[in-house]
Amino acid sequence: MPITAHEIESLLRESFPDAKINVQGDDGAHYAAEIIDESFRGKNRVQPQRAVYSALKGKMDGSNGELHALALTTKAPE
Amino acid sequence: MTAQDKIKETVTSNDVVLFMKGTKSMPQCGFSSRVAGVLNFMGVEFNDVNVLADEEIRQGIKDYSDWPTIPQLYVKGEFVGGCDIITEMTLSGELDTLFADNGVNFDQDAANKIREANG
Repeated sequence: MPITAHEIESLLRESFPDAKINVQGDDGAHYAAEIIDESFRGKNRVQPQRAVYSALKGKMDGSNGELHALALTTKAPE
Repeated sequence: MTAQDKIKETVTSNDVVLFMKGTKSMPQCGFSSRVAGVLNFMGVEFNDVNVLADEEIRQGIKDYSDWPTIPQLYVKGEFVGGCDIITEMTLSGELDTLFADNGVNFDQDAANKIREANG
């Protein structure tokens, strides 16, 4: 089942209530998301993206994952 | 040998390993292609593992790193990141530093050229 940009944003919002979130894309499988959140400050590059994948609750997993491709940009506010 | 043992042996016995869809000479996914392309261009010797050729490795590598996507780059046994992270690290110069710190040979001029072209 395809997923919408709005659904991705809602899932991310649950885990990152105060983040600045921007999700681009509209083909149901390929998206780009930018998440700017204070919780990412001081983290290495892997940790924030792992947190984002975790927020997406398995939507990216395996061949059954609805979300085939999500380009991620994660950072702390300037 | 279990998939986890195989993966551990691969990433610890090779300095640079890229788990990807397809091979370094024939990538089968744009994200895998981008990372393999950077490593090829920088002249880095790396071991490519085609996850499409082995379903156990395809799932196993995701469990190994707790990371749900392919490609995945490992340097000296440590998970470095996926496509977005490698792209950012290439452009920031962090990837050069990582390779230099780990004694991995790469072409500094080529790395600089990538940054000039994408600056």
